[in-house]
Amino acid sequence: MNNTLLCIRNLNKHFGGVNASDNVNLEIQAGEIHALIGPNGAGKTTLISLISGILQCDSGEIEFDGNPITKLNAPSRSLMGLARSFQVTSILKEFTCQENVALAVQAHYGHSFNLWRPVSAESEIQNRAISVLQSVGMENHLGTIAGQLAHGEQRHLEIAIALAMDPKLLVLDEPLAGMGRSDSSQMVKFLQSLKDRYTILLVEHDMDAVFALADRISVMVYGRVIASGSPDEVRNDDFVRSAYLGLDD
Amino acid sequence: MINLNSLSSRRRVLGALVIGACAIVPLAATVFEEPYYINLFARLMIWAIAAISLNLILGYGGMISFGHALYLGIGAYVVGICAYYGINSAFIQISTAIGAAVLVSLIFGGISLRTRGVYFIMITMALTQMVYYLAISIEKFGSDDGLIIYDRSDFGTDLLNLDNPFHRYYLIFAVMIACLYFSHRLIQSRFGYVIRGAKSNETRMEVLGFSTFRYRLVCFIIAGVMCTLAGVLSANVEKFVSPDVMHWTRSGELIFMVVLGGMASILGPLTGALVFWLLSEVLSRMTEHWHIIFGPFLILVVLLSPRGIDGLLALKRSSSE
Repeated sequence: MNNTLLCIRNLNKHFGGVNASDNVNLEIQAGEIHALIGPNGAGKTTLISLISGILQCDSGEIEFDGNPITKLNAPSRSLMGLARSFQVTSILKEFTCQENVALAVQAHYGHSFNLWRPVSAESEIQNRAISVLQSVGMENHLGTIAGQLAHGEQRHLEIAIALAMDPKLLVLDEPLAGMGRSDSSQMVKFLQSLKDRYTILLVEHDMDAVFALADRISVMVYGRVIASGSPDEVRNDDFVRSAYLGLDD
Repeated sequence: MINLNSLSSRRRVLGALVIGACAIVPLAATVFEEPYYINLFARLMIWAIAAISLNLILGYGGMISFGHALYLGIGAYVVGICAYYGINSAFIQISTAIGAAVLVSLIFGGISLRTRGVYFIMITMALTQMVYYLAISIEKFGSDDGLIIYDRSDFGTDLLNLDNPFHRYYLIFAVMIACLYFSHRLIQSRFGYVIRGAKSNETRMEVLGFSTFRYRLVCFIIAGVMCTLAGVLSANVEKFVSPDVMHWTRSGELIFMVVLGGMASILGPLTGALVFWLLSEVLSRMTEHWHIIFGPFLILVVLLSPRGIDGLLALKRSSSE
């Protein structure tokens, strides 16, 4: 059995003269939390967009769950079990929390060309949406309009939406972005609880969170992955220390 | 708290009033011996049907089509051209009109839905203007003088004879109610949620796994077909069709109605059509240049209530939008 869930080979993406992804190679094993760290502008979000299909690469290959997905668009990749969250919260602000999550369930529940039957009457979809919201501790916000939630709650909703897609790989782009200390530690605990059930690619700036959660860490600088390994290996890598972690000292 | 699915009581009352008024117009007109009002309200409801269809793509889908009157033209010209060749069967005319609408909206939608924003507005307008000039150029069908329709659509039964103003009126009324109910169902269905979600946040919808283009295209076709039915009805009221029905100012008027009544509300287009007509009647009696008053009025409505008249009526809405 091959345990590699996501395999990225020689991936390139240029924006004008900038190499946002410069020959990136990355492997994510099933079951691990793989953290991707690096300074601002290193190309982490670009890489995630290439993985989720929002951007198309210039060259290189992406294989997911044994299938080449390089040429597939975002919806098809999503249907294969690739879910992502966004650094800047991306939810349907006019919809209730339950509607947000129900849409994610609906996307993976056959086609949506039913023009007649109200979604609210599709109990399978609604029950699943409710149970996902319960699992992230948002059962009190089922009917709340998403745009009216506090920032931390919106980040939770964003993850609930991703979970509702029943993903094989969960790609989280800075889930702690803009969170206060207490919200952050709550979110870290929550991510910890996902650890056994999901494979996660985690982009994060908060090093405490990264070292608390990650099984393996890859470091990205100037569009290149300069190191990959266990948290200890990465912490002790001289190159990484000087290029990135060293800045903290 | 906003709940898209619920109607507040004030909106219900207004909706019931408007629909109720439409229902009794022929009776009242007969009692007061003012048959003129039957056709007048019939026209009003035809506009409403067109506006209801535009609301599906504009209000719920965020697709600002500036060429929606095209489908009024398709419906009316199919009836006109069929009648010209002596084909009066309503069933043949309606199925031909629907077929033509599906074909045209499939092609035009396929082109225009690849663009967004201002580009979408311009392309839908340009495509409709193309057909407008096509209609002008065909002398056989009256070019810009228009085409007189000598026989109305024939349903082959005395129970529904369109030469009878009452039958005609209540057919239009029934079609309008059906369109309202269909819209109401549609926006709450899976499909409706995808359309509304794509308006709210397209990237999110793509990442969820929805190929939004397909859903938008189907919605565009549905709206086209619905508006074509309005065109078929219009030809039967006027017994006349001219390219003017497709002119871009017509499409603009339909947008006014939707915006005025309240985008993304089921009854909005109906109230919008009613208020639009009332204003144009009243103002055009005051001055020939009534648009000078109407324009600023529309701007005021949009500034004060982005959700139009419907937004003014809705209770307990947050001002966040």
